[in-house]
Amino acid sequence: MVMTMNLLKSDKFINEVISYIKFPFDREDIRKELEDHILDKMEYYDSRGIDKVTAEELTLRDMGNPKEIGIALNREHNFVLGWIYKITNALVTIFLIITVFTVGISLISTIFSGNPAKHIAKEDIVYDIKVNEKVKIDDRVIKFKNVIYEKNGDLNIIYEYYDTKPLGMGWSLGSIGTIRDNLGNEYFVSSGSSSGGIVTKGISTISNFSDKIDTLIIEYDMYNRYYKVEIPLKTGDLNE
Amino acid sequence: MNRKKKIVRNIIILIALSTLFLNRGISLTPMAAHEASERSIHYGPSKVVHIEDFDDGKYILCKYDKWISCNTVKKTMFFFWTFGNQVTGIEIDKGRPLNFTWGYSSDRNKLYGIINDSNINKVELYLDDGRTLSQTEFYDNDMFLFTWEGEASFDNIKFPRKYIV
Repeated sequence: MVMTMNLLKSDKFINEVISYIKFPFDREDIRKELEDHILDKMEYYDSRGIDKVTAEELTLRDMGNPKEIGIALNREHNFVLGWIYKITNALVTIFLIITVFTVGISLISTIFSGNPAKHIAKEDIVYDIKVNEKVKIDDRVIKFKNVIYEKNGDLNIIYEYYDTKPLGMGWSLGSIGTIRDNLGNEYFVSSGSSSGGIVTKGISTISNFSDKIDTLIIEYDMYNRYYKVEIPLKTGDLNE
Repeated sequence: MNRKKKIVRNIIILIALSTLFLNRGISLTPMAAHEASERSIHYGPSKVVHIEDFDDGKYILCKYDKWISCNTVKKTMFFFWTFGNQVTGIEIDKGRPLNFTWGYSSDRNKLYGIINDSNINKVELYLDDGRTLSQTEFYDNDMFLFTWEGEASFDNIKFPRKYIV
């Protein structure tokens, strides 16, 4: 490296140029660029048999006035633009980390949430009806997936929901609605759970549900939002 | 790529990420957070009748159809706003002279309600630590909001009616 060869004039030249650069983060790059440029020039003179001291003097003469170069370079490496670039770079990094973190958590929750009815043993299932009913309230789409009736009289409603806004997040669904049967009986959900994530999977369980009921009605009627889902049940199959 | 182009690229990335970010319960203004909170819980949009500040957020007193509510929104990440709590409220029962509800969160208490009897011109709230709060000027002519901090619970609420000749 030329600068390590004790070329004091070149060092002085570069330091003077650098002293005009207001944006501190560009100074090192400019220094390296000038060093390379001086080195190239000196190698050129060296190849023509000129001694190093003279080659340095000629090179610096060719380079021009350090003040003029410094002012020109400072204009090129605009102080304001430099800081805007640095700040926006930092913000992009912060936002990317937060986004990767939050979206990552949602994705992981969605991927690993699994089947909310996995705790129900197959031998305990009397029937498992594929429902495939979809309703929408505000930005939330709710899909009723299955109704699983167990030998112990538990009726499980399996559902999932998601936000129609991309990666939208907000309050979780408090209730899927009032649960009734075709005879007008109203049921309370004795237990339930739901996962988090981009697609939330949930289960609502009603205990002591009669096997004679042939239609399940889920009706949501709150704060001027309404939907009603009627699900035919398999009463006739139970004794087969 | 020169620096100007890199800045433009960064700004585009920031706008895209902000849009994603603002869609995840984070808003630029308290009202945007309030509206997103209501929509997300399937309530409203309500009419805002009064806004009151607390340390790191705001109480937003509202009317919506036959309900009243006092949502809260909170500051987050220096200049953003996010959901608070108790978004939905109570149904107005015109058969009662006054409807109110009470709640607390993080040592902050609020009691709000609506006056159905137009003869009521003052609402007094008695706390169990001896303090009395009162309101005579009502928001949107009929709503009131009391807020206080600390462990004190409300002991009684009184609403003297106007003297009618």
